Amino acid sequence: MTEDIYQDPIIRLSKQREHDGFLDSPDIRGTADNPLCGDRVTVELDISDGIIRHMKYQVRGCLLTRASCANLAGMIEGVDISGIHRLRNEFNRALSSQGSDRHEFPPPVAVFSPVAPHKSRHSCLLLPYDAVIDAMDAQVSAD
Amino acid sequence: MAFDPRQIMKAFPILESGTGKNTLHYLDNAATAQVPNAVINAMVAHDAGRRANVKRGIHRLAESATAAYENARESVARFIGVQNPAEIIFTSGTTHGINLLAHSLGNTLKPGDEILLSPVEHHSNLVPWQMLQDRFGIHINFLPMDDNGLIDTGSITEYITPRTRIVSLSHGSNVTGALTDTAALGDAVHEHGAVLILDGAQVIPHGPVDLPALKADFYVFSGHKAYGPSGIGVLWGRMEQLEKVSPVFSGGEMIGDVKLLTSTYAEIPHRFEAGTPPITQAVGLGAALDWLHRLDQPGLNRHLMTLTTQVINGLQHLSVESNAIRIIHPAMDTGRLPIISFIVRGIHPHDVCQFLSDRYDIALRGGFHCAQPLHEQLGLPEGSTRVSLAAFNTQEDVDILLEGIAECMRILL
Ligand SMILES: Cc1ncc(COP(=O)(O)O)c(C=O)c1O
Repeated sequence: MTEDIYQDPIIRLSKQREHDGFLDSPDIRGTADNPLCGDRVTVELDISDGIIRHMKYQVRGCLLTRASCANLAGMIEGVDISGIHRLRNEFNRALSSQGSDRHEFPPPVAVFSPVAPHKSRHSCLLLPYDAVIDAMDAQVSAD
Repeated sequence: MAFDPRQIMKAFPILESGTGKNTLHYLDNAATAQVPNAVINAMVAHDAGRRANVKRGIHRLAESATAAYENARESVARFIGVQNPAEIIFTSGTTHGINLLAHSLGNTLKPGDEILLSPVEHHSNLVPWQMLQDRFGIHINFLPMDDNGLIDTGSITEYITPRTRIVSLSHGSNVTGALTDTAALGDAVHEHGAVLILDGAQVIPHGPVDLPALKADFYVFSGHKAYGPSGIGVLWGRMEQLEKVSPVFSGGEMIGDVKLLTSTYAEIPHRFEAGTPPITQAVGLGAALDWLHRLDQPGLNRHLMTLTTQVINGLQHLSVESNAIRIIHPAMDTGRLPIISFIVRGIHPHDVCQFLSDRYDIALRGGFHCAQPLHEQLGLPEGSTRVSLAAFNTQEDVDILLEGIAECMRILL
């Protein structure tokens, strides 16, 4: 048996609904799908000067995807496009690294460290990041 | 000998941990079943004592490897009630068998021809036919299914047309466990000059089948779901149908006389087995079906149906107050397989599976089970969680499963 990922802080995050829903008039919108399991995250963002001000999301997915959506929405204010790529890369590196090469989890996502041994679930955590990147990319190409 | 799942369990090394106490509750048999010692030993003995290429070698080992390979074909024939072992073609699995048929039968199709499938199908009985649409300009139609995922085969006369050339259906669903009522199919299909293919991937693991009585023309299944190794499967075809099919894979082992520009083909079944076949795996499959064949069949069936009923009743019990669980299941009295899929409203199937794996070492399957259209038609966009039972499963497996699901609902809902 492997490390239990259903620990209270993750479960609590998955039940947060503060940013679950729609913005009144979002500046941009993005979607990411996980074709392996049919999960889908759609994000709506208010941005000004290339900086994210608010995020709301709609999610069809597992507890981990929900928890990661809530977590990201709570920390994304003030992040720009390079920032979201950096957050995703650091998160992914911490999830994927092992043993002596181990990368620390950045504090805002440290709650997810029990998921690291479950490689098949990493994409659930990264899905909201991909949805934000999808939104920002679309905006960049529209500019 | 009376059926005793505890004795059966002992035949499966993966179920015995170092302490002799089983901690694994393996309920993902519809994906891949575990293998008994009889199969492992047969494959080891083959590789340790008889390993050689088959068919052409003229030395002691080649002859005994060929005999072992052909004996495996005979074991398969006995298991599926077929008199002539030449009707058994070894493939790498169900998917390979359906693709072989889609390519070979596909080559004979003309624009406007029709293929009849159902929404219940595994992707492997859907996508190979979809790929023919653009190449040959054919149309795919679907038999309807009911709310429990049962294919309405009785309505075949409404859906089959003079242009229908192929009818390819699941013999038993890998999601709902529903057994397809095949009684109305054979005659209707043959009256229209079409051929009937049945996907038996989920049926063969549960005991011998009298295939000729089903009036199908072709039947496909996989070894790894029937207590055998992966990399081996079977395509059975009626000889008169096989004679009409031209091979799609070619090369060594499937030829008669080879000239630079033309060749003749070997006899059936060899003409459909191009290249070196999966010999050790065929030996393993033969051993698996012989092993399964020797079990007390009524006892095995009773055991599996008892456990299936307990799972269904247990899930319904957990859901009495909250109505949180929806089981997708055909009625017990229509004949079914020991496969139960369900959803817990508010908990994603992947979380159910992960939770039960992490805390109870229970192996389940969550998601679409390669049947996305079926799930979408049943209004299950997140898929489902599937329990699939095998001979070695016990009452204890079911008890722990239900305890785990109750705990999962308590913590995650
Ligand atoms: C009903 C059904 N058909 C086809 C398949 C495909 O089998 P395989 O992957 O062994 O080719 C499966 C297995 O997942 C199945 O359950």
